[in-house]
Amino acid sequence: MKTLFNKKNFYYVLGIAFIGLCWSGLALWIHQDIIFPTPWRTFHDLGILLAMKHTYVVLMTTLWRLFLAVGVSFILALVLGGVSIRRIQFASFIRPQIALLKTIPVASIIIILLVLIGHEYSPLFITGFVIFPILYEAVYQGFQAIDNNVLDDVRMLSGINIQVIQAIYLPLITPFLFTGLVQSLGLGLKVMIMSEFISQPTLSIGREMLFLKQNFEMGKVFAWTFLLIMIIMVLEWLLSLLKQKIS
Amino acid sequence: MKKYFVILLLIVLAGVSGCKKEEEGVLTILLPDGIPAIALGGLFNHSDLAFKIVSGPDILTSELVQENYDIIVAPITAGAKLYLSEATSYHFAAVLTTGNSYIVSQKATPLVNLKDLEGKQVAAYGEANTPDIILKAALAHEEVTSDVVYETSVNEVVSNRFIGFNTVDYILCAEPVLSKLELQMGLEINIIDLQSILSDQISLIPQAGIFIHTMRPEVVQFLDDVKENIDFLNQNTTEYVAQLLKLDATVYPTFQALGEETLIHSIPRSQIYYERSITCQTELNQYFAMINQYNAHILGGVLPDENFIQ
Repeated sequence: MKTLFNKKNFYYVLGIAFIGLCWSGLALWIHQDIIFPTPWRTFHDLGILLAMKHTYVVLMTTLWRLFLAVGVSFILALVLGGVSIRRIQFASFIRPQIALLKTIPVASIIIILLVLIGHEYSPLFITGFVIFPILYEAVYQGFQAIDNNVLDDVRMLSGINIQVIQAIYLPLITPFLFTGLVQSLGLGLKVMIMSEFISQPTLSIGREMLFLKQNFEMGKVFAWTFLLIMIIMVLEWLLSLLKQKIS
Repeated sequence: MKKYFVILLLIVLAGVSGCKKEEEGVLTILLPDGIPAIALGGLFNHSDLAFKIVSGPDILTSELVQENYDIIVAPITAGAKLYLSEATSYHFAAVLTTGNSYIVSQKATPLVNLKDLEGKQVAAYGEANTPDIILKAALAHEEVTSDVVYETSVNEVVSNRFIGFNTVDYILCAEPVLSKLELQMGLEINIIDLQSILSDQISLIPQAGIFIHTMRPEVVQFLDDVKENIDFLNQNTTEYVAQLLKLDATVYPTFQALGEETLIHSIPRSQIYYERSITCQTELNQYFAMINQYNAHILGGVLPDENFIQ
């Protein structure tokens, strides 16, 4: 109990209260729920959203797309990062492509992919293209950070094989992988929802928010936003738990 | 560690295998939200039709370039532009909605005729598209010069320029948002119908059209159903609205959001009108000529040939 009400937590709660105060003040000043809803209107609409089965279906579908994009990107990053560390020529070859993916504006990716692959699957690829460089860099830097003495020992004893990767390489690069995963999940969800908002695939949070905005239901748009912030926080917390368990 | 990678791999494999195609024998139809959705809403429960509603014209344009849908309801200008640049294989089969543009002001702002807009700022939407062309044509018809500022959609016009901070005296509006302003937001407003101003200049202002690949028997049946549905909605509006409100609100949220009163009020002013493209070629060419007159960039100053329609 004593630790719960320490000075650090007090200021954290004060920070949250400040956000609530600014939000309420702004909403009262604007005085138009269809432009900027009040916190109580938002929480009322959040209650309505949470009572609907449809909300959970939409939420799970978007999260499913996110995990798929992160999963595929992660596997690709592991493979390509591994090859890059072993073959310096490949690392040089792939660098311009990674740089291109990192610098190309998301809007350009969306426009190109919408025309190339249609609106249903675009968000998957858009999210993948945005998070892949983060994961690749995490894997590559992870491999690079391995002590040269360890690598020399591995070369001398057995060379690189599945057992060596599993027992030596993966544990050593795990902290880098988790940092990459945490970053890509947070950014990935933001990009996913933005691309869903533009490409409007069936059952997606972005599409829901767009239609709510079109119908002047800003309270529910804010409610979805609040829900997403909570989800990101839970995902990051789960990942940190997993990281602790593995390491 | 190994088991986490196996789980990850399973997720990826399950996700990839979960990407499904639409059933065989079902016509897939992409259409925009708003009046086109209201116009076809009576057919949403047909088991051999799969509808997908999107908001705004961007997805419609990108899908006209691809071949993911059997039928696409899209702005006729977008379809014509893509046809002329040989970017689409879709053909124009029928008109679904016609001009639905109104000039609106708050009750306190005078709006007796378009002359009231002289030298004033007008917030509009649909730049380089039918609503914009109608506005420009109507202003030119009445020899009025206004400063037109554009927003991305009619909703943006209302929330940013009519009830928001950066308001203007006059806005270009359309149904069903117009009825929503009057009934759900309780605003007292003045309205001028732009279609009636242009009625002596052009007899038909087609807005949304039905685009198809080929005139297969199922497509012919669909077009017949659309005609029947539109006849019904125009003659039995209250009954039709009751049907719309029975649809699943999670799939078609707009009908519930508009509500019974707004829907009934908006349909007569929505200009929902069905006509096969082959029977209104003269009117279509008249409309395309008007587009070329006010914005030659849209169609490049030319008219689509007879293969555009089917």
